[in-house]
Amino acid sequence: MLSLLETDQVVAAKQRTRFGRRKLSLGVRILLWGLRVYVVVMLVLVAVSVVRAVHPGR
Amino acid sequence: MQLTMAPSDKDSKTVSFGSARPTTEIASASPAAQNLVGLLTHEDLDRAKDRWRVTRARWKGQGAQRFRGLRVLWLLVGPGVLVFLGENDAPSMLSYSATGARFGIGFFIPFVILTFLIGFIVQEMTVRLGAVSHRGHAELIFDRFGKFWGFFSLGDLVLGNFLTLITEFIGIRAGLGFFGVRPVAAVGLGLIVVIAAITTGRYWTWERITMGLAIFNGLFIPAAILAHPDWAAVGHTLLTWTPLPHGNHAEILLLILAVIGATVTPWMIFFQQSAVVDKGMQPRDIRAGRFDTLLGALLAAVFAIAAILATVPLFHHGIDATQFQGAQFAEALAPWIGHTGAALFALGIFEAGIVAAIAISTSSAYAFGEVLGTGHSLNRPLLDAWPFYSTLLGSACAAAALVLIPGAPLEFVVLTVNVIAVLAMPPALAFLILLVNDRDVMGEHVNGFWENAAGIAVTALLVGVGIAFGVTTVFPVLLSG
Repeated sequence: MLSLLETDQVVAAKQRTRFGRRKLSLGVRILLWGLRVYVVVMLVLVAVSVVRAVHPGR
Repeated sequence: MQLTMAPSDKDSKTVSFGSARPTTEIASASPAAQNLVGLLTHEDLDRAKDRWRVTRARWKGQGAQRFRGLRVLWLLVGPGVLVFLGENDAPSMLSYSATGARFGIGFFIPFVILTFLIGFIVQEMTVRLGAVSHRGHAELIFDRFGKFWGFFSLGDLVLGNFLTLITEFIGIRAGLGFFGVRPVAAVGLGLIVVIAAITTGRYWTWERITMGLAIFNGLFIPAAILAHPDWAAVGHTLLTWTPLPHGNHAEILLLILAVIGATVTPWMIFFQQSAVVDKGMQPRDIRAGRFDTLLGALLAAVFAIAAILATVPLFHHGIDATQFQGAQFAEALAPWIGHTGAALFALGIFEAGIVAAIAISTSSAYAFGEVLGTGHSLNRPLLDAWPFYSTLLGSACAAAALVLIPGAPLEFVVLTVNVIAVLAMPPALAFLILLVNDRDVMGEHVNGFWENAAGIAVTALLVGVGIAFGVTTVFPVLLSG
């Protein structure tokens, strides 16, 4: 049975291991925050778009 | 590389099972093999059985050599086909149908092929990530980027999945509504199918049942044939991308976003990676996983084009389909493609909703299980992994219930779900590209130059399209006309 699975595929082994946190460079953090702000802004605009579509008079 | 032991990262001890590389070491060769034997679970045994079938099919001299490769492919095909045919869900098929009804044979047919190429570029990375790391996407994000970014990603997934699930049950209701089935019965039947699919307690069985359902996405092909499309025009548009859509530019932009969102969405990344892990795929299976993903993209592209062609008669006869919901397309098509064609179309919408409901609720369950550290495998019995199955069923039932509430503002959801999917993709892609370039996770299987170039280009395209949508929403006069 064990010869068919890689060590990290065994549930017990996987539960006992983690890859650990990676250090995020400044550039990566700026990228992630920028994309996060992008999504929030876009969701607001989607809401605006939906309101306009449903109430075209506004 | 060495893995640190959970739960405490403070100690940073090396793994008690040895300092094995996770990419290739077989468990029986690990220094901790003796310990592992006594800790094997039902999930491990089921996964090992699936691996045994693949290993046996790979052995030289076993059975007819001529078909050995095909048998291996058959065994390893699954996550890629399911993710793409699952993404040909009810709102996606309706988006494709809307382009056919609105613009006929033209730009959107080759554009759909382009979107599936984009989808393949993205999904191929999830195959490598899952096969090498043996971890789901949510789990990797939490591990490598921490809880803050992990919960943001999970939030995007949960929101998108729940909205999409609602539209799947709208599709199920609409598809069966064509046959006079009442909404409660239609939605109830959909839930029964979702429940039945997961009661097997075996990933392999669940996968084959769902693939069997997914292949009925091909019902749009006979519907398209019955529409008697101008095949010369189809060939012309595939080569020239013309005629271009003309009319209200804001509407065209929205359709472009909807078509992109019909092919690339965050749940696909989470689902395929977790399915690859649950299937027990290993680095040696990556090539087969690529084939599986390509096959899924090809099938889905063909079925999507069929949905466009099936509704072209509405364009030719000047039928305004801009406000159509699922069953209305089928009803409007009946005079032009016959009742049989319309019935096939309606059944296709029903199938699209069912398969997507199964796949999307499973992706939510995988993500929650990975984050909470509870059992999250379709190889586990119902009682053994009740939080996993409860999340799966709970999300499906909540979406189904919402669809049955009289007066619920479902049109908001239908209008926006594919657009939201496109807008939520860039952060998901950023995490995916960062992870597949993470040598500590991927080892030798990190992205090459061209893979990174393709991934970054896709991300830039989606951001660009999203910004275009944002600008035209704030300044609608820019695209008026």
